[in-house]
Amino acid sequence: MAATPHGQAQNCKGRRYRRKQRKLVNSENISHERKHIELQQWLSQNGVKYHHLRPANFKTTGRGLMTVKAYKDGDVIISIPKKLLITTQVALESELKDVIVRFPKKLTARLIICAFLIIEKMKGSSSFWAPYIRCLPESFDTPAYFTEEELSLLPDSLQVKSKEQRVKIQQEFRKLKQFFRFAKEFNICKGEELSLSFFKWAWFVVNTRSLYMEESYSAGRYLDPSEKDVYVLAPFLDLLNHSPEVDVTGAYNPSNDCYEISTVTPFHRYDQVFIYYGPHDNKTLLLDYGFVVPSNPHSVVQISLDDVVKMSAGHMESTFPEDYAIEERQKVITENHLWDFSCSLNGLSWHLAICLDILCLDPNQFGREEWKSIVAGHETPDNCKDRSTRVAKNVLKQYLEETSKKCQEISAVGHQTDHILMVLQLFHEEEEILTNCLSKL
Amino acid sequence: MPPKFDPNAITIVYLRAVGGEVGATSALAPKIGPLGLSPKKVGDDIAKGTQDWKGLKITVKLTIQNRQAKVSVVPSASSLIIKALKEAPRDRKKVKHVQHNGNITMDDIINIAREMRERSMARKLEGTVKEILGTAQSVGCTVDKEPPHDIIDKINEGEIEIPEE
Repeated sequence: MAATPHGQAQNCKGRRYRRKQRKLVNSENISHERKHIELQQWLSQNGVKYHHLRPANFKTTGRGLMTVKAYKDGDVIISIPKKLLITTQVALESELKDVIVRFPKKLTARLIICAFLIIEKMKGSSSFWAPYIRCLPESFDTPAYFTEEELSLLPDSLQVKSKEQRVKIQQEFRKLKQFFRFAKEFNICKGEELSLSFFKWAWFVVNTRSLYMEESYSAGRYLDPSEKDVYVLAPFLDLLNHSPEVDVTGAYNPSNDCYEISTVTPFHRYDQVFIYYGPHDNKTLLLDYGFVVPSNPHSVVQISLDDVVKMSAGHMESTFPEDYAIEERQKVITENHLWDFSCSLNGLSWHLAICLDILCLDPNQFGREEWKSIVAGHETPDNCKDRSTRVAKNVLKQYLEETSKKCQEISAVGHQTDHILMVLQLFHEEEEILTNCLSKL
Repeated sequence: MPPKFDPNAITIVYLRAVGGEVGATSALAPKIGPLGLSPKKVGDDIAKGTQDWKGLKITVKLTIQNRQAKVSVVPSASSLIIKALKEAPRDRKKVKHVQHNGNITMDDIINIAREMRERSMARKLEGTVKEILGTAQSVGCTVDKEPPHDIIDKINEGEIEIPEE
């Protein structure tokens, strides 16, 4: 900002004032809210005494944790002692134990934690975990909470995945409903039946907030072996948001019995502290966690192989009117285990590039099995490279057109909810990746 | 959905490569091609990441996360010794059967032992130092102008003392 001498005279309150203003614009400290105070007291009673994180509402990400101390490479951000971690072991040591042992079916580790959360939430403030449960969000922004109309706007691949997820939730809901009916005989839960919305809440708490921790003890005989027992819920620590740019390590430290997160990326005082959930693209993030990150380096646009084959067929038929062995070429592609047909901000993926080259190879050269050297990573013949670039351009242009159309469609929707804005962001990102790829070709 | 910090989301691949050189892509392709990485690009990354090890055969560790590879060098006793010899880089294609008849100091050996400490099974640093001296013998160099095995004997007899850590 260009400050005129006059302007400086007006804002003569100094650096401290300006810094404070900036802080207020970006974030709002919410650690004085009753539920956060209670969480804080509960944490300190149970051994988390000194840390430098305060819950705050941030403009860009919503609730997160702000640091009041600068962190440098190698610092431990926070450590949560073992007795505050919710694992299957905790559930198996609670009053649920008898029910889990006697229940004829085996539950997965995730469902046991869900059941534990539901029981503890039913207990209300008499539960040991009440301060934690009160701080959990009531609903989530994942596609499972979208309305039908919002769902129909999602990209096709995500719609399919979201439907699969809904089916899975329904199946697990039925299983847990049986479990709770069975539990009534043990006088554990009274009152009405388990409702779907209640179950969905517990399912997404585990889905969006669980961390990875391998169990040292064996509860295996009570668990369904189809899923590994690696889920753990860590109070307070799960308020940290994700950013693809930071580098952190999180693991259970057996020497002091704490789950610890240490950072590699330095953080400034009063900035939000981020952790790294994993190399997820924005579609996975939306499906599983209910948010999207602007300019995510892991995001890709999937290109369907059929489109590539169709486009190259049109091109090759005009160049080589005689037979050019399309079936053999497709066979080569499947036999070489090429699967990653996508483009990202770095350009076409390697698999897509060599797949295009194989499809556009001169029939003579293809007959001499020259595709083998392409798969081995050698240079492609120039005439083939020209053709494959042209085909790639056509495919990308087609995708770009469709994406732009979809963008306009969504922008035209009357009531722009937060969910629709996230979907729009997905499509804008796709548009950006495709334009970028086209300019690089 | 895997939970956060799932270590299985990362694939680690170990390769033997010559430092600072772009190897043959056909050697890389079968290992990293199925993971969706371009052998040519990874080959260039390896050459760039191993500039300190020009002309030495080393083990390279590739940490692969969602189509992106990070290159790091796994130190091995013999390559660290050859590096400490500070031989002039030579063309591997022209000079064959290289003899490493140089000399390094005992401090070099202890520094190498400290670097290799984690990967050694020895209980004390002394044991690791002896392991490194054994490698020095097989490489063919001398330590403080003496054959490495004489130094091992001296350590066993207590003539040379090795710091605890």
